[in-house]
Amino acid sequence: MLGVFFCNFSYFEFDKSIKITDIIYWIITSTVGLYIAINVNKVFQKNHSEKDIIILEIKTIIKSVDKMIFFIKMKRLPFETIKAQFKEINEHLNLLDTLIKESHCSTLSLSNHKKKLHELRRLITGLSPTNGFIILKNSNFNDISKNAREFKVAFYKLIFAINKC
Amino acid sequence: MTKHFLKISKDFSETPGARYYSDGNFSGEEFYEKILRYAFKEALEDDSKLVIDLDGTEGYATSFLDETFMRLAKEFGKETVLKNIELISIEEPDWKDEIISYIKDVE
Repeated sequence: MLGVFFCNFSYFEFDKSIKITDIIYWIITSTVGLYIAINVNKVFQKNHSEKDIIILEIKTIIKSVDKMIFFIKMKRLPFETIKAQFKEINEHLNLLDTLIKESHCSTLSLSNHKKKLHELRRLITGLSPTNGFIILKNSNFNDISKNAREFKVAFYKLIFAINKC
Repeated sequence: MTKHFLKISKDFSETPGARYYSDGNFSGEEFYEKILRYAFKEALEDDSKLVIDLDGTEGYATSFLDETFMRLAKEFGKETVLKNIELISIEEPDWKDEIISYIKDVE
């Protein structure tokens, strides 16, 4: 179409005058267009940085869970370290909960993650340490490692959910 | 009602241990027998509440808290304990509900 237009350019006649209403109409249209573009971009940027902050916090938790899984695999968990790790994870989880509630993903719930943390903590720190270590037997190892894996997967699922909202 | 205060990290240990003496240092059993039962008794005698601050430690084992508060409820009765203690746990707020459930679970 553009080709046809330019080949027959001389065919068209153009006014050398312009109506004031056309100018006003053009200015209003451009301003509204620009305003919408800027605001859509602002909302997109805001949502994007919110997601980045939340996902960063989730990744911090995953790293701590990985450290815990390392000890679980060895079936020998240093009691003091594990207690401190659980506290650290719980504090991050509470912070994450606050961040999510304040974000545009506020409908997401962490109650399942809290429940899983509570269960894992009970399974591990409910055991008696021996010489400063919690020693896992085959009977409780399977249950604990399954719970730890599920806890970690729950955070990856949360990242997917954050990206969708 | 006046209040008595007990901060575990200051009055007992920053690294509370597990359930029994045999589990190592600063067990729940030790905390209960050496600190908590006397502090609670004293608060009751003064017609006061005992405020227990859980913050400032390097973390708790569930066995420590379970042993401590289960024994408190067994000795003094769960109604008396629930009426006369107040828990502070800003760092890990969910401990408060957890401890209340330990107390309520005592037969």
